[in-house]
Amino acid sequence: MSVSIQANSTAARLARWLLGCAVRHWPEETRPWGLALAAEIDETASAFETVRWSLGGIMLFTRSVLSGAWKWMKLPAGSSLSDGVNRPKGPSLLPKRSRVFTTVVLGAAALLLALPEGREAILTVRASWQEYQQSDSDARKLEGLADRAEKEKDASTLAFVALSTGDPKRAEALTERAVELDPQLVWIYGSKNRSWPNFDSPKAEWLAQLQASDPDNAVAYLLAADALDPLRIRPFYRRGIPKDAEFEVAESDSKWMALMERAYGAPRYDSYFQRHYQLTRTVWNREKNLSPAIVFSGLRSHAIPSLANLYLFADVKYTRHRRRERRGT
Amino acid sequence: MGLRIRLSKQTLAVLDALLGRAGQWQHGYSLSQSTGIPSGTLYPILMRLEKLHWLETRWEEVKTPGRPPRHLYRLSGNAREWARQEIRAAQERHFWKPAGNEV
Repeated sequence: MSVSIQANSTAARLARWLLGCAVRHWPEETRPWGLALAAEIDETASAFETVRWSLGGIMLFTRSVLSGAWKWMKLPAGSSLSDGVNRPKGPSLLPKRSRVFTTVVLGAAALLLALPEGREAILTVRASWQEYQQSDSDARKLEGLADRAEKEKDASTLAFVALSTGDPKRAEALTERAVELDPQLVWIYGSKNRSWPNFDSPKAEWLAQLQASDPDNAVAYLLAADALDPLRIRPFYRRGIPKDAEFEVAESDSKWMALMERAYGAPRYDSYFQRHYQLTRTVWNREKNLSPAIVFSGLRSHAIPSLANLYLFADVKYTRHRRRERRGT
Repeated sequence: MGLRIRLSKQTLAVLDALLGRAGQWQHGYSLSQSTGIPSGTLYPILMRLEKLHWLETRWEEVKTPGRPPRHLYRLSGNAREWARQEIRAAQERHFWKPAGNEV
């Protein structure tokens, strides 16, 4: 026997065996056809014919299995192809939608999660549950942004990172670098909330520069007044309405009074939040993969002048006026 | 007339082979040999024709012990005339020609 014939015989035996396996697992609905096809294999005249016939049978088997699977998919979840005969009539607890419907819904959900917008929606919800706390990967992302911005001398991205990072030292360095590259960004000197965890009040020279660049804005003076003594307000209203003598102590702080007077005399009040928002929007549109924690923690930590300071100043002014009235001056 | 279907060239070839020995039972393998259609294509055609009642089927009685019974096919009485009409129409349309003369 030649090697070729031997190989053919082996192939034929394998083909017969495969067809036999297929017949054993053939779907019930078309099983007689599988048996009919398999019964003909003994008639084949050559090994090649045997293999060809078996391959056709395996194709038919695959087709029958897929057809059965498709029919099964079209049934509601929990039911089977044989249920149709024995299932009792009447209301059923089983779902009425087909498995195809369920698969399509699950597929659509998976697709939604695979889309960048879908992932972003999930990240936003998760970030809100965690109160927009930045993760280590957020910190690394910000560092990567800062490094790239530094190489490209991109002042606005540096400013964005400065306002978004949770590291006070890094924020300070980046703030100065951003303003050095683009002096128009001086407003970022007054945009980081001093009460944000671990952050100190803005530096006095920063606030002086802010006042010089935007002299008509009350916020620059209010932030400077806040920075003089951030804890000054707390004792005042702790024990109810303060006494006149306590207001006189506050009034005696001439630096604070001068800043507050200038703030009240300023024609404008601009907290720079709109600029911060626009800066964030610009960077976010450019860097699509920024996590919501990065974006919102920056905006959430935007500086707002102390309302208690304003309240105290109003009280000081009122007390002074009442005192003058009493004196008749 | 029974259910009419859009017939492919392979289906027409099978009908032609069945008509060639009208009234006689034929095996799947001999149909495959006479038409040159492989088993993977032939059996879905036979299944469809049987579903449409164009085809009568039966199992052969076992002649040799140990060998499975073979399946037999022939066109039903009415289907013979329908098949002839279909083949004639296909030839007139130059869509299909009998074996040896195929387009």
